[in-house]
Amino acid sequence: MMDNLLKYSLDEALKQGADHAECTLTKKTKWELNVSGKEITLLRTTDGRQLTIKAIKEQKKGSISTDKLDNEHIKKVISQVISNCESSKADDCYAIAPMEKASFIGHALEPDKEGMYVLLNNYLKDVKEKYPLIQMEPCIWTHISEEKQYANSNGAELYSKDGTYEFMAAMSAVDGEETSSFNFTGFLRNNVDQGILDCGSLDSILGELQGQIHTQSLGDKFTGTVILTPDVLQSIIGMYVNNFLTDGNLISGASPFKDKLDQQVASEHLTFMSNPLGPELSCGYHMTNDGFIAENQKIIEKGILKSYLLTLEGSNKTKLPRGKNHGDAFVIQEGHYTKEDLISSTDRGILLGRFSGGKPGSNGDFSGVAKNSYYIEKGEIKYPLSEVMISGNLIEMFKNINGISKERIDFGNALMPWISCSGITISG
Amino acid sequence: MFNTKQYLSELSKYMELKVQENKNMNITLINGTVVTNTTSTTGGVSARAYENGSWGFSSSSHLDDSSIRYVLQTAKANAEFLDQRLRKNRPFFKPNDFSFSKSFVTTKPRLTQKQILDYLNELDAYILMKYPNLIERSIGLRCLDMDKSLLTSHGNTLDSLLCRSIIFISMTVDDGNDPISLYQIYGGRGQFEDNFITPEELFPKIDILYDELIQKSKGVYASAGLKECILDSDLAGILAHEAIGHTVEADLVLAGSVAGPNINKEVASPLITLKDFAYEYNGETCPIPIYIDDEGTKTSDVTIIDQGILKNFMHSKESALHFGVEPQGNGRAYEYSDEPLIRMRNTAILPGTSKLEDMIASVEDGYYLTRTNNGQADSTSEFMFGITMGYEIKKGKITRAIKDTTISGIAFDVLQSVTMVSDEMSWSCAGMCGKKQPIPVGMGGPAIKCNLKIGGR
Repeated sequence: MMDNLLKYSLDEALKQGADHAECTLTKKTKWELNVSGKEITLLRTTDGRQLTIKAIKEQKKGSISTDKLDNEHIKKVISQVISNCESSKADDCYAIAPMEKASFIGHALEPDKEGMYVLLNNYLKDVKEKYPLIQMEPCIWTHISEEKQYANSNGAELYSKDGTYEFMAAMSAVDGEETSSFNFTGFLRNNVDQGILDCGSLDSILGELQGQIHTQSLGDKFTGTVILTPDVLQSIIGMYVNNFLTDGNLISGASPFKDKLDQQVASEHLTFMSNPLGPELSCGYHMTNDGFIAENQKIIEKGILKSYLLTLEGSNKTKLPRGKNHGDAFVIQEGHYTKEDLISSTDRGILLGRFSGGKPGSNGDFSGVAKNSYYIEKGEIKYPLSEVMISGNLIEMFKNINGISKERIDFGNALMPWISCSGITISG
Repeated sequence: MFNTKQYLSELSKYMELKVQENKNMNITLINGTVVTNTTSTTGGVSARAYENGSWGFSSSSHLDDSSIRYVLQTAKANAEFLDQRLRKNRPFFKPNDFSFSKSFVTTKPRLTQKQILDYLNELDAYILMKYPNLIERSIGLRCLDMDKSLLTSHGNTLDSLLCRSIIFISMTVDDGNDPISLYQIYGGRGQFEDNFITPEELFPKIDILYDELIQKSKGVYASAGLKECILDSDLAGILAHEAIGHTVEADLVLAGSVAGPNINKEVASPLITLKDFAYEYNGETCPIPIYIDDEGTKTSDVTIIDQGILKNFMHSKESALHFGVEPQGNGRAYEYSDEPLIRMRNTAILPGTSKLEDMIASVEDGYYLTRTNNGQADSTSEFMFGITMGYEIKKGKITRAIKDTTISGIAFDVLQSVTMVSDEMSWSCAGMCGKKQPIPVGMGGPAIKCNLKIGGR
């Protein structure tokens, strides 16, 4: 059943001259515990609402978001949206989603406050005992409850309500006046059944940090292998998708993948999906940002590009197929090797624990600093590194995959293995 | 401006009450198509309470009397939830009674969204007409107005309206093998009407951007390794902010940043003095002027490095109490629903006495680096900046442009290696600093000559 507010907003938009209109109402509440140093410092609760209205008039588009939700204000806002439309340029590609109706109710709609406090307290005790050199700044443990309603003038009505527990921590190891690089990780869950230290890659990252206080420089430059850890891979996949497969660079024509559908763009070892509906991931989503029911989709299968992550308007603009979801739920298929196999088969390279680098160029060129990383020589990890830069090209890197691990880390909203790639310039 | 004072009697021993509205305008044109044309308003009320060392915070996007009373009660209850379990028994803060009111709203007539879009379309038409060989052109406008009213239980009040408007222009050419892009940002503090008078004023700057793009498209990859470099002022500013500034935020010092043990020690060349300015530099208003912070603290400049010696950290009320110093107003929050964190304001290296041309002439084999697209730093002060424009220097002369690359180093080591600092100073305020919340910041500096690692092939 459409919320009265959405119905009023749609009716008002059409009344004020819109040919098409869509509205999204999001209500979000957070219950959040914050840690600084080694203690809980802040309990923060927030309660927010946001209404976004998009209108198309004579194929001109405007949109506005507001969190003042009384009818009088909405009427004014819609008048501004129509004005935005009128000031815009006409484009036949502007569109709204077709009629679909669906409702989704998820898990953990309310926070288990005492359960969250106990888990976080236990985590701090565990870390203090097991990893005494670790300092946390910041560490945030949040329950987010989100209710989202979408409706448009084509008759579409989508509703979802879900709750998620989200953990994020940045930390470093400190021994006297010596400190390691900081590292960070996080995960999403839909329950508090499991200890925090047992989730995601947290335990291994904390353990590694304690061994990264005393690092060595490489003092060399060579072309070698980089083994991407699951945390790094998650951010690299995000760059890859944003650079080559979403609206921006595909609409502008700068994406090298604009005419590569069903062609080999990566190593045949690589298969990855965006699967917001699971079953591998516990924390996905049910509707896209532009009003479609989300579906799982394969993006690259055995190195062949199978789909883009274009919005409806991006699809209209590029004449390429629309994405069945908006990404952010990436699953990389497991490989045939163990993580140890990937290391032992590396003649010379690094195990990349964090990549500190900028946005890659349109062509995929990237460079940055290898942080929280280890030097590998003749199949063995030698020592933790400092001041090492890596550079390469994202497209070439995923063409030059040596192997993918069987083990994967479940981040709740992503499932990532270790991947070994060759042909990376390493200098330090 | 919202009258928060009427709730003073409702605030317990230490509390803050804040009413805030952020307005954003976001327009993007890609190859002439308006892909984004939105305005958004995010506003509401929040309260933060301190109870014996534990903080409680609550916010609501409703703004009426009952919501204000609700967030006040919830913030107290949240602080008590933690205090009952943690019992830290820490002292309260010293009161002060400073209040301030300031608005940066334009005095000119406001333009309509259509007039603003017409302005952007004129820029686009100029680029298309003059540079038809571009494979991509992108123009973006980002305007932010932050309207804030704060009340603390000490009686401090702040009413401020801080505005920023920036235009970014990005161009891409195909060099025969790959797309090569370059972008530049224009504008800063103030509303659109104050920063952008006519499109024609930007045309010469667009021409410079295009010329640089063409040089870059014909450029070479930098040669990876440790090099002597001249960092232009934009890069010196980001070095001051990312690589040094973050390590001296007191919360990161407490978490073990490398700056902690180095207080009152020499960490940089004596040529380096680095400050976090509150609102004014040399009699001019800074890009992001902060007169009173989100904890109600009257602000003052923080001298971080004085002629090479590390002198101070940046503090919130709580960290200042911990270190036994006076807070100088670095507690800042972005939205109504955000709690204050220790943040920078306008961080800059101060100018020296050298001339840029002499600095370039003094380099035998190195790089002159002029534009960056981002920067990241570490608790160890190891930093990384993306370089989007730069040039080789050979035997004291600028030669070929270079393609996108990255520079890195240990900031304190890099600053120890500084041998020349230019006499020019420039500021920028396009960036958003990220640390749980985004926040607009100003950065500034002269050109500096130093040694650092450059990526490449």
